[in-house]
Amino acid sequence: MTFQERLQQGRFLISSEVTPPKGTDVSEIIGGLENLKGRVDALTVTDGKSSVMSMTALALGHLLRESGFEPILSVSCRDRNRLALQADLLGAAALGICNILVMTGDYASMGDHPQTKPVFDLDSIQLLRVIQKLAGGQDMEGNALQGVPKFFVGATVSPTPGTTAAMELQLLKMEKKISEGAKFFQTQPVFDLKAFERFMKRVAGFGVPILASVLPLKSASMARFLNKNMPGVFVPEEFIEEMGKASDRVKAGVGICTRIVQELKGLCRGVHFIPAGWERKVPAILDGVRL
Amino acid sequence: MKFDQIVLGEEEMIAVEPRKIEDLLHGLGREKRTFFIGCSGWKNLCSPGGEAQLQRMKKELELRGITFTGTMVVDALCNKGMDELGLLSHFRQILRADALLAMACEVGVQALSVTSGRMIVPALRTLSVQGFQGILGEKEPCRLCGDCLLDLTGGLCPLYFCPKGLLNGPCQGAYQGRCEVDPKKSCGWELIYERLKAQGRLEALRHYAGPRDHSEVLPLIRLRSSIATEMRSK
Repeated sequence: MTFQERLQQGRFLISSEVTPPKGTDVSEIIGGLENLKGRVDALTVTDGKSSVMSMTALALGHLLRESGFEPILSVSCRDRNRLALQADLLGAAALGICNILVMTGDYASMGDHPQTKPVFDLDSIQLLRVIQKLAGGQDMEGNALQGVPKFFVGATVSPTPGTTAAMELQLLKMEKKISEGAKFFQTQPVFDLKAFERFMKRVAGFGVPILASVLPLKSASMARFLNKNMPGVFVPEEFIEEMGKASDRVKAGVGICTRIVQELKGLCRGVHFIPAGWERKVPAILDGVRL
Repeated sequence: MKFDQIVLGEEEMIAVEPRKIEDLLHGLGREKRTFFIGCSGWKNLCSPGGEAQLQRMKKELELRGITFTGTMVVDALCNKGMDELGLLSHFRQILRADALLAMACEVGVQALSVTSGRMIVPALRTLSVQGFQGILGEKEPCRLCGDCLLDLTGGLCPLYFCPKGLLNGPCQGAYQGRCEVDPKKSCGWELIYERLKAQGRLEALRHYAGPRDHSEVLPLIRLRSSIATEMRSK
């Protein structure tokens, strides 16, 4: 059964994030995912995350598929113009990758090639419309395609973006994304469950499944770093204190993440792990959750 | 003469031309009454039209069902002092209007947006500002995209205020209202949100803005070829 079918059936879904390597050797990455087999519904492959140059998501997505995983291909608007975006989407479909996660993308100056030319030829809303058009058998200029791709398309939303204006804008843009074909949403990492619950109440009428991102904490200083630097992320003080006091920080981090996932299970349709090197800890977190 | 055949100062340093009439009708569409402001421009710098062109455009729009509360022509719409004087002298007609239509370059449109606090629909698109980029006021910049959206964004250009040039709302990178690219600056889309909110026009944010037409972006092929011809003849 595919990710799309499971989502449509209303099951609580688990996905996990994978970032392609800087280089050609994928053995370590794929090896590290072995214990997620059968435990996650899909793997989201990042596309030049944080503007750091790495292998194309399309190639890793294909290799993951060959290894028995179902990939969700992230497609960012930062690096490719409308020709290249459409070309890669057709390539993905030809390789059997139909789950697409559309996003604007981090700005180029934030990564390891800060002098590059940021593209942003299309924005996420326009790209969603282009994908719909491709799935209807035409490129964005209306030329007929030889072989029509099938896509299942999702987008991203920030449930707690900070200001009132930002929140209203997120909701407006989310509605636009839905009307342009987004069938599911992934969020920024969620720690503040009360704020997330308020967000879920506001989008209850939208009728699209939401997968909340979860990021296991590794230390109190990581939590403080997130609060200071990561837009839309707020780690409550109680978690920071718990991490600070813990004698076994791995156990504490896994414990907090398990509790967050357990709570999210009552609030949304799935979780999306951002393990950031803790791929091997994901099964332990899932073991602790009554799914 | 037809609306889209009105020839404006293509030979001037600031090149402008009428926007598509469909875009104007869309911009004015839900507004019931319009006040039309022309700009006579600066000698040798720009020629955005004047009374004659304004009347011609007005007639064409009236045929398409737009009603006007009045018109005026200001000497240089990019000069906020001039705008304020003009607005004061016609304030009754302006108060009765739901939108202001501005026949000026996009710098003038943005200046008018600041002074009037009203919804401004640009009647022209600005194509080129040869040698004059930036001198007309750093707060009202025009990126010369030739595809003006200022009526939908409260007079703030998303190409300038958003480093990613997003046309359909913000990314998720703003932190407490600050842009991810330069935390010293506000998120451009939050500024647009506040401006539209003050105008009671938040519904403009629901508009789908299509991909930009980069074939129209500077240097315009026809302008470039005319410059090249001039250089050869010298």
